[in-house]
Amino acid sequence: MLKSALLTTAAIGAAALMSASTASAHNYMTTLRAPAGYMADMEARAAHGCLAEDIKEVRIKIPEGVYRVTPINTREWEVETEMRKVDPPVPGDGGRPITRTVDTIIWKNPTAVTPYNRAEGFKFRAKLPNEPGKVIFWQMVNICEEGRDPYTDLPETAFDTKDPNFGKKFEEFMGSTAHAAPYTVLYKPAMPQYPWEWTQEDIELSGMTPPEQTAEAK
Amino acid sequence: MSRILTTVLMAATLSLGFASAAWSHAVLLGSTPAAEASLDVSPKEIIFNFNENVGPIFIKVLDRSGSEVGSPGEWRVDGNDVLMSLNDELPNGTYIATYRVISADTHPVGGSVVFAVGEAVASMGDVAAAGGETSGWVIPVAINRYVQYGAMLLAAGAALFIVGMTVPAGVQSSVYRMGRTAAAVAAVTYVLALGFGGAEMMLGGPTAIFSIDAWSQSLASTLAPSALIGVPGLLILYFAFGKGPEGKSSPLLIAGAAIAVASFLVTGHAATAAPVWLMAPMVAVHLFCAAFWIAALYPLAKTAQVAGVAEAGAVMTQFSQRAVWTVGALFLSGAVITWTQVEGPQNMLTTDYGLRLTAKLTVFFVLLGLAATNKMVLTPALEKADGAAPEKLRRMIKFEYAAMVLIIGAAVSLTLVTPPRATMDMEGGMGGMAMGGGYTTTVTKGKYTADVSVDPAGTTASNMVMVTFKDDAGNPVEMVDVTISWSLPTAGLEGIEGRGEMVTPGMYHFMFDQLIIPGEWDARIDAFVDDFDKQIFRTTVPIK
Ligand code: HEM
Ligand SMILES: [Cu+2]
Repeated sequence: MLKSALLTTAAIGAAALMSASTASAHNYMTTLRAPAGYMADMEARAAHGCLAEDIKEVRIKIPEGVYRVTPINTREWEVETEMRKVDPPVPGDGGRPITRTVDTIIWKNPTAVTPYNRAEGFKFRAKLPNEPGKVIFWQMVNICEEGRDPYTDLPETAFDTKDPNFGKKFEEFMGSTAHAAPYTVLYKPAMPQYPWEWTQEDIELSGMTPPEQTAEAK
Repeated sequence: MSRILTTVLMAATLSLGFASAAWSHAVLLGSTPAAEASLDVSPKEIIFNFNENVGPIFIKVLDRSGSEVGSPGEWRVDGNDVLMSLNDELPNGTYIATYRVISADTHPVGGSVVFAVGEAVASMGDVAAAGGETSGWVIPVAINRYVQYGAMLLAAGAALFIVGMTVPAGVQSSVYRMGRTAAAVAAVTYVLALGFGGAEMMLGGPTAIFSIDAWSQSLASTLAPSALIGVPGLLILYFAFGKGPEGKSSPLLIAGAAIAVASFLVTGHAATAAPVWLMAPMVAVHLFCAAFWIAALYPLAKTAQVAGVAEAGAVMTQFSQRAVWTVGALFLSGAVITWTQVEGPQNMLTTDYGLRLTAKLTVFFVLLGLAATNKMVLTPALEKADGAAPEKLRRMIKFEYAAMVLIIGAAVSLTLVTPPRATMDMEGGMGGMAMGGGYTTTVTKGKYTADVSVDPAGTTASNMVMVTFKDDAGNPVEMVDVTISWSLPTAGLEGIEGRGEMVTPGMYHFMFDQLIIPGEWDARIDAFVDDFDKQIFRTTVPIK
């Protein structure tokens, strides 16, 4: 069980590393993969302006199942959030229900626009759903003086890495549109996020070399 | 161990899948020939310039029948440029250069650029001039039109003033001189309008005005009859003013003014709008009254300066009587034109045309206030031989000049944008009435419908597309962003994209010059209901 989790982790890790190294022009997540159920720092990247225009605003829609979102502060942009109702409420940490959550993060009025041929990162912290194998899509739009550059297209049906045709389906979707929403693949973390939640096995594992490096060394 | 290896291999394959499909988004930054360019000689090479290094799948040049032409040679990639040489000369005609390129990964992006050799790019006609692309020539066109309107109104108005008013002899001769100069200037602007207008229609560069194309374009447009009527009218006026007060010929002055005004009736939005039997006379009345008022300012100021208080009082009294009728008729005719052009009070503040008209009306009311002061305060003061009154009157007239300068500016700016009436026609599919053709259809997606009209749905002119979105209750829906992407699969053409401009709430206007090949074109309309919710409407449009 643990071993297969490690293997999946290694596989997705390698995949993410390789795809991240490809020069890219679309908006994308730097955090192409993330541990399911973790409270994690995420980073989206606006990778080019609308045609040849500079970016003056960026908006990200927080998908279903992602809660407790906090933008990470920046001195270059004004950051705003818009909220949405969570209906029915979901249990939050400590058992209190969550009834409202961040719907959209807006970065605007920058001290300097992002030139159309430069990439820029937009960071936030979020509690990711505890659904290993799921792919979450972060719809994103870059707004320029005249135009808009949307990355909002979603697949018809959700992706799951456990699906044997996962890779093929994903490729098909990505090839079908030039406006795919940036995504993050959730993997099953080797151990819970916080040390006080660790089991004896986790504690033993915690002193070991991280699994990604083990895989790569071989 | 081998299991780990297999997994890593699997992952690597998978990641190639991700990477290959994912992130190419080559954006065309420019091309040679440029989009819409009209070349004198056949190009030796086609160059596309992208924002990043790309690999071409194909580049081809198609003629109007959709056949590949020019015997293309090899392509090569030079930095962010992709170049393809043409071995054969292209005969005169309009062409579309189309590309499909890939980034370092395998995601293809297509697009097209239209250019012409030895002719203007697919005749834009008045439709494009009203709502489509513009070139740097719009500025000379606008300035010239401003001078033309001002000078024509001054010349025609001077004639009316001479016929309709009794003024002191010293003032009379200066009205003749003013009229003569204005007539000469106006005549020149009619000719310049042909050159500037032609250069603008062909979206030409700085030297376009010297090209035969520009002139032949404008001679084929309504600018030609306008000049053909206007210039003789102004020459008659020039001649009549030249004879001076001694040789005053009222019939000649009236005829010249009427002909000059008539030249405006063959162009413009208003006079040619349906019903013409009503609109043309209304515009004529509007112009006569505007002319009289504008031309009166200078002689009135002059009278206040040179004549005695009593004589000035008499002139002002006479003018005041005439002005009541003139201003009334000006307002009424303006209101009727507004009624047919604007279609609904909401358009006064939501459309470009409406806003310009609102600005014009605002200045008009200021002007009315000034005129009322003249009539109700200064004219009685003059009659009572108040010595300070002439000076005050002259000062008021200076303000009126300024207001007139603004109003003529507003009137000219109205002729540069499309009135809601014209865009409504397109939407209702009645565009066919005006243009003789067109195609309309309705596409439904979920709770939204899109009424689409393409006009003229032909290959020889730019196609104007109007799309109106409604919800299930029939209310117009304003979108955050609307783009249309055309493709013609039979010719392997795709990626012809345009972004819509909202003209009235929920109604979007597009111009496409690239649909130069007849066939069943696929149109895909992407409409963002909000930042993230995109509705896609697909339809097929026959382009003949
Ligand atoms: C001193 C006052 C005014 C002057 C000097 C003036 C002058 C003009 C001129 C020169 C035109 C151009 C006609 C053409 O292109 O053929 C025009 C058009 C027009 N005027 Fe006036 N006008 C005045 C007041 C008004 C008022 C009070 C209204 C409305 C109640 C009005 C409404 C219009 C409209 C709707 C058009 C048609 C514009 C187009 O679509 O081309 N005008 N006016
Ligand atoms: Cu891109």
